[in-house]
Amino acid sequence: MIEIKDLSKSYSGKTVLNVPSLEIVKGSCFGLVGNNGAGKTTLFSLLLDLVEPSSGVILNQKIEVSKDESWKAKTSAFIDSSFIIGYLTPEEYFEFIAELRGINNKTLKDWLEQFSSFFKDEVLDQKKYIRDLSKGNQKKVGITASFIGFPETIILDEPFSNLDPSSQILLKKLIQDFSKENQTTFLISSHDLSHVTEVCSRIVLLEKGEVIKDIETNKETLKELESYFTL
Amino acid sequence: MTTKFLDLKWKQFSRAPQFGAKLGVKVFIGFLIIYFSLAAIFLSGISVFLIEKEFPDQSPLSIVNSYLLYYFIFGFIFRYFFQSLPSTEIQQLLITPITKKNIILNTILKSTFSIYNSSPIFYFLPFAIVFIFSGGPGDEVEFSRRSISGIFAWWVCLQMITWILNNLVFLVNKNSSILKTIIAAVFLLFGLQKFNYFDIFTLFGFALDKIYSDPIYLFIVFFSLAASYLLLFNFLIKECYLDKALSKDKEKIIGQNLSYLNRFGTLGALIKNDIRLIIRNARAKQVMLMSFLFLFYGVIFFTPDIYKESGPLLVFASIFITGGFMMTFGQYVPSWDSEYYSLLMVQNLSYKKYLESKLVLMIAATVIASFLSLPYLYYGIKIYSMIIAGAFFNLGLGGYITLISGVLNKSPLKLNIKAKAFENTQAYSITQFLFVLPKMGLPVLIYWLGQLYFSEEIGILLMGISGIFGIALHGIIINQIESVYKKHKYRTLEAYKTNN
Repeated sequence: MIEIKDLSKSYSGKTVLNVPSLEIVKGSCFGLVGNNGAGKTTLFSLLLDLVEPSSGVILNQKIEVSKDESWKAKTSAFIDSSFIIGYLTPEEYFEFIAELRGINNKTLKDWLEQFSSFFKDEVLDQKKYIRDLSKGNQKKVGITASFIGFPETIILDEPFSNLDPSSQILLKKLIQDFSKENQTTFLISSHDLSHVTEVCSRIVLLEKGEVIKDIETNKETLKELESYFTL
Repeated sequence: MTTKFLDLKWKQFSRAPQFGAKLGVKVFIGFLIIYFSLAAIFLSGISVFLIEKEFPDQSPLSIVNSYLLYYFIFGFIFRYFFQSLPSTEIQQLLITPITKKNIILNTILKSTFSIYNSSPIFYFLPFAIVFIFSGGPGDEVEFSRRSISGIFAWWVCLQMITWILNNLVFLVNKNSSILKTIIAAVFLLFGLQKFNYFDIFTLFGFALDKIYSDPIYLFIVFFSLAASYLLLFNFLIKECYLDKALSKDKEKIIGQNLSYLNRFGTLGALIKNDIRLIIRNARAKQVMLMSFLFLFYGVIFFTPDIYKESGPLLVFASIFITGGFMMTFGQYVPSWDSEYYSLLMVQNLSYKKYLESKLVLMIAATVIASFLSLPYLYYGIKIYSMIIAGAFFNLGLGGYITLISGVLNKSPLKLNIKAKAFENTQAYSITQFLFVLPKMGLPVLIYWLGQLYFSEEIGILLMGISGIFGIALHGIIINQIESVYKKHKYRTLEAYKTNN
């Protein structure tokens, strides 16, 4: 469970995010949509304690993220390319993350099997450093690593962009299955309204740092969002 | 076109984070460059007299000539690590309406006038001028009458050889078989010289003597130079595609088998990463080369008799010998991890573990350096004990100081891009200058006080003990450093973001 209270972030007087209250229940899939500059990445960065809030608190399983670091054991994320280590091979990178999350090599290898169709023989055993993989494959590596160690919360910023259509569809299934099996809370931002409405049970629409809509997903949600974004 | 380009460069510079501090650093570095250039010019000039004094019956020119091949070989190795084809610049121009021929001519021309090729002006021109104007006592030898045209030809020859090497290094950088051939040839020649079969070094010297006495032979060098330009031009024009000369080199995977570090848990995983970082990234490899060169620092200070009695200076040199890795690699902690700092910040990983992993690396490097510096025993047990005491200081205290100065420096670092000349200073800030003071000054001060009130031996001993003191207080010190890192976390993340 993640609780946000009176959260705001401003840069030199200009408020970029202002969320008075928001609760995300455990095991749910939370979707975040909004145009560029709406504050999606800022919100995720605040949740991960990568930027300092101007005011307010964020509680991750009752732990205040900017005060105590113990939430890190149960939370993982893939935000952008600064979440992958380019000079490692995908295998070495997975091993590194697994080591930090207390998963041994053997378990990791078996666990990675389920991603074989997602990787399409382009990621593992390639004898390539991650920096030499295509953008799409780099993304796959980063997303997969965030799943390692059964975290209770996974935060993904734009996971569908840069992926080819079949990988996007596979990723949707992976997220849904993982969420069901492990009661994982997913926080996903996306510009792709159809994907995010399909995967997430709740959609929050941000604009200029404010929550404009907060909807339980139903059949009409996609239409509602599309009409909102049509100028 | 040129003004536009300069304008862009200026904007890039003036809009960089920490502009004010950077400007200060640039000015300081500017002064350093001027200082070193003047020093080089001066040394080059007076070396004529120094050599004449040392070898009164030989021409200083042929003495210098007999060593020049070593100089060029070393210079070539240096170039190999620092110079590379400006692929991205070429790439950007490829789709503009400039012909390929012009792009390549431009690239070659620019490299011809790069700072790497200026050494003949600083090192050899002053020598040549002084050589001409000082008559010299060696009247009975061949070089009795010093010829202006001869020395001019000699200097032009050195400049041309420099340019040949410049062109060669671009070819070598893109073609590992040429590199292998060159390495094999160098080893063969060294071997032949060692066993007195064939001394290419002396022969090279004779060839240069010949250029001086018979400038007409310059045409051979000239044709070689022309050939090297032609070769480079043809190579580039043929390979001017994204998947050829402009491509990134196909990388071989190295450093895969580090599983023996697994038993050290998180610490081992971090160290494993750092070892891979060092061996797999161009920038880190350069830094390793530099830290290796630090090992030889002592030769400069221990050899001349004038320094024999100035203890503090010897201590200063001793600190450098084992502290090379700390000073070159260590000062860019945590900048080395700037490309993926956010990842580390959200991992289940405490700052303490992170810092300790870096400390372990620096300590290991210091210990290795103390073993590698065993040959300094040649200068006596006192010098070597200074080096060991310096090593203790480095691993006991120097490491902590380095870690603190690193977090105050918030410049991100591009791992796999070779730094250009003087670019290593770009991830350098004014705070680091301030931290050089305790890192270098503190051991010298400790030694000096010990020597002043007791004896030289006590001074050395105190310096070593100060390091042990640091190790004993590890728990307290590392907690303090951790809190500094925590305090700077958000600002560091932001600074790394803006440039990545």
